[in-house]
Parts: sequence; structure tokens; C-alpha cells
Amino acid sequence: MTVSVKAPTSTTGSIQLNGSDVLTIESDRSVDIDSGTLYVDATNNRVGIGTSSPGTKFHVSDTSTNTVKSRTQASTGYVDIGMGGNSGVFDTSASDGIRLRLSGNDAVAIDASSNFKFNSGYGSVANAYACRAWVNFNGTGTVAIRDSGNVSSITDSGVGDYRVNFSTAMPDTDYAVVGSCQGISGSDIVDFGSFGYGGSPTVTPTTSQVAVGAFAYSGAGVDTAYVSVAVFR
Amino acid sequence: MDKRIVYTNDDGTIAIIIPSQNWLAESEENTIEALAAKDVPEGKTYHIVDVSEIPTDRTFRNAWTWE
Repeated sequence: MTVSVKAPTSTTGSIQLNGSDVLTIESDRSVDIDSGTLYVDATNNRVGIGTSSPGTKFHVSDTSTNTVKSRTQASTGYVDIGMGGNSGVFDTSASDGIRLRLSGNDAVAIDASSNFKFNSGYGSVANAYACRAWVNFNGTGTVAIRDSGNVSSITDSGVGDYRVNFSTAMPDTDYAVVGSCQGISGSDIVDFGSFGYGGSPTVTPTTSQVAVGAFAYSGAGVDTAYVSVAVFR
Repeated sequence: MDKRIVYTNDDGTIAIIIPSQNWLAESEENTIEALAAKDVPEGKTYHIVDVSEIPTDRTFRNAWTWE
């Protein structure tokens, strides 16, 4: 094994092993170890790993996987940050999940069962039970959806009688439905019902659709201008 | 182009599917025809119509039929 120090010009130099450059010092005092494995850009005060042209203060580049990988010594635990297709991906093997902390306290967490938790004034992180579908629609005149989430359509099945069709089906039929509807001037009580309305309260929910309705005290369906539905699971 | 999908319920009344504009905008594959395939009950004959063909006076909504 031969280690040599070379200064081929007055402004550059290198350390060689068996005649090949291992460390190169460039004219601006930038240092290149193993052709970009580690690079110190002296002109711009930047460090690159996997690149000899770091674009930021600390630039890690792995063009083969587009991922920055951090491994434990035994390689069984990992934290990877990278690109998956056009998506940014944060992946970890940590069995207790992921925690984002503020001043040492958990603010947001994903536990080992993939439950998403957050504090947001609750006092501690707790499971967030998400609204999986919602819709606000006009049930009068030209029935129309004002806005919605995870709802592909509503089915107008009669006066005050609707079906909410989910874009992505629920995992089962054990979801909870809440809703409201606008009252009608000069009319008696208008109520919101799910799984069928007052006149036909026996519609069975499915994973792809739930029946909702607006009905009067008499049980008859009524059309109202504002019907809002939210589904939790 | 505001469309509706109409089919007849088992009891002879008609059902009208109102598409979510959000769903239609999610993907080029989310067309009114795709919505019919997804949300019309299996085996039902359906018709895609312009919204202008649906009456706005719902006084006798439960008596509507498809002709």
C-alpha cells in the first residue's frame, strides 16, 4: 500500500492511495473525499454527501433511491426520508410509532396501530376520530350538493328522503351518522333522521351508502334548503 | 354540463342521483357514466339526463315517474 501526497499544481493537491485520489483539495480550498462521497464546498460554505455540488448548507443525495436512510447499528431499526413517486415519504421501523414534540411534550403522534393522535388543547395526545364523509346539500327545487368530502353523490329518493353515496366505502357499517336540516317557516318540527327517515325508518346502512332524511312531527318527509350530514368512523 | 342520473325504485317511485362536483373533479376517470356504474343499484336501468329535465316544483315529488 502506497500513500502519497501530491500537489500537481500550485493551487490544488491530493492524497492518493495506490496512485488513486482519495482526498482532493481544490483551488478554492474545497475538499472532495472519494469523488463526492463527502464534499466540503469552501466557496459557499456547504457540505455534500453523495454530491460534489451541494445546493444547500447540508445536502445529502442518493440518486439510486432518492431516500436519505438512517440505520441503527444492527440495521434493524431505521428512519428513511425520501421520495416515493411524486410523494414525500417518512418511513420508520419504530415500534412505538412517531411523535412530534413541543418543549418535550407530545403534540402529534401516530401509534403502533397507525392511530393518529393530537393534543390541540385536549391536554394530551389522544386518538382523533375522523369524519370520514360529509355533505351539505339543498333539498329543495333543483336538489344540489353545495360541498362535500368523500361523497360521490346523493340520491334523491323522494320528499325529504335521500341516500348519501360514499366515494370510498366505509370498512363496515358500524359508523355513526350525525346531521341537521333547516326548519320550515310556519311548519311544525322538522327533524333529521339517519338509516331512513320518519316515514320509512328501516333502511339498512351499507358500507357504500347511508339513508338520511328530513321529516316533520307527523313522520312525513319534508324538503328543506339545508341538509348537512357527517359520518364518523 | 350539469347532469343527473334517473332510475326507478322497486316501489315504482323514481330516484335521482345528484353528482358531487368534488368527486367529478378528482379524476378524469370520474365521469357521469362511471358514477352511474358506481352508485346506481345493480341491475337497475338508468338514464342520464340534463338537470333542466328534472322538475323544480317538488310538490308531487313522490308521484314522479319516468316516461
